[in-house]
Amino acid sequence: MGVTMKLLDINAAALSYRHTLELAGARCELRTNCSQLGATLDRWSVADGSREHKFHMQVLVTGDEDGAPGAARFRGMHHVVIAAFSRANVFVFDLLRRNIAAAVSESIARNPQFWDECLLPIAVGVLGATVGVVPVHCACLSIGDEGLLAAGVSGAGKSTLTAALAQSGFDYVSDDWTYFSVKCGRLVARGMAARMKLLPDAVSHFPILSQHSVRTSMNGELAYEVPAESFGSRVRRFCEPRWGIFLQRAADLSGSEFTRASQRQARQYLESSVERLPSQLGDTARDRAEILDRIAALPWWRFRYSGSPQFAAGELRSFVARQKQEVAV
Amino acid sequence: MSSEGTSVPDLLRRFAPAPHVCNLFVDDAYVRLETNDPSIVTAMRSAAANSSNENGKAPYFWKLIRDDEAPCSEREITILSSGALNTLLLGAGTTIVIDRQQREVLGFIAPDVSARELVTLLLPLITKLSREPHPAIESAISR
Repeated sequence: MGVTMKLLDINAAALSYRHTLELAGARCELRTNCSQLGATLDRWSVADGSREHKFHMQVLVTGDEDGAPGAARFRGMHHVVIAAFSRANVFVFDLLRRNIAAAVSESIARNPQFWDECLLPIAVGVLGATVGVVPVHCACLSIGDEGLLAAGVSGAGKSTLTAALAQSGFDYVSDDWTYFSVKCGRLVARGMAARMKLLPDAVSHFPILSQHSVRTSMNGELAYEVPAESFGSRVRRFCEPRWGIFLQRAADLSGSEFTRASQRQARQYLESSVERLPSQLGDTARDRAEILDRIAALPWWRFRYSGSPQFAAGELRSFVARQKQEVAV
Repeated sequence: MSSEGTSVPDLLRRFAPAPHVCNLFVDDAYVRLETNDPSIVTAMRSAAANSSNENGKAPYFWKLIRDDEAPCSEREITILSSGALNTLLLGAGTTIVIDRQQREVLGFIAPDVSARELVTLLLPLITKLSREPHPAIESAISR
């Protein structure tokens, strides 16, 4: 059997370019041998400052090219997770040492879409509670600093409702995954995606989408990916979540209804969107459980609706106004 | 709180059962091997001495999972060396991580890598990567 062999030494001291990135509130020290990668990741760069780096990422850019990266193949055991996008693009996540070591091609180093929409959200998702962040499958919008979480199964209308809420005066934080952490004793929700993703049929509710083109997103889905500002919304990097809703389309219903969901139901949903952790990561599992408990302890409501996303957004806007009024009284 | 035992799918195959277990001496190191493939146990036993770790040395823990969903592809070996971790990739389907500090070897083996190939081709590399930083490996590879 003819076998060729290659050794890639990903030694931080030999990676001369150094940057500090801020990802969902967690600071990351990036070291690389490629000046272009810093420019690709410019959107995430922050001044070094005095805050500690929660994790480290060493990226060796090699001369290898093997075409566009496909979908990642993930495997994990104990404290290690490997994401292999192709033979030339491999990431090794070490959850014990909070370190990512990677070898990537030059074309990947120059591809902001790959980093913004795929790798960096994956990095925060995989390291998760080891860096104090818990990703949850829900959208988040805010009125001022107060956040509304919108969760629901696939097809419940989360993305179109997010767009409609953005049109109706809510600020946009995230439309698919929201990253939770605790800062100064308070729960904080953050987004990582600057663009909202909507399936092609959403154009029937949002004619503005006809000004954009459908494209293949990183997960292979055909979708519109448009800046949240296109819907007249402001983008906020974070907010303090105050309410949660479980979305449910209800064809049998005329209008909408809100019913209170229990903390246990909220906790069940949250558990379903997080990865199982092995016993080797017991401390991480405990930290994650504490954050999930805080999210589940928010007032959660089941929101059933029929009609357009704009109608649902109007109902939710009134609902939030009522909730704020009740608190004020 | 651990979430083991919930109905959340195991997308990473972290919890793949490894019911076949043996204890071996591999290149002077005591190894406890766990795998889901009995042919790996057989091949490893033929290449290494059985052991009960009578000298009390800290054991190496090896877990090797036969990964039937892994792609079969070209046979280039890539070694990513970073700190205490060495990651050995054979093609795109076989990935083995060697953690020298934790004394662990954790791997997924593609269907096109036979147990015999694992022993003849990868075992020498794994044992060297378990002991030594990468420059020694480089010279071992070039020999």
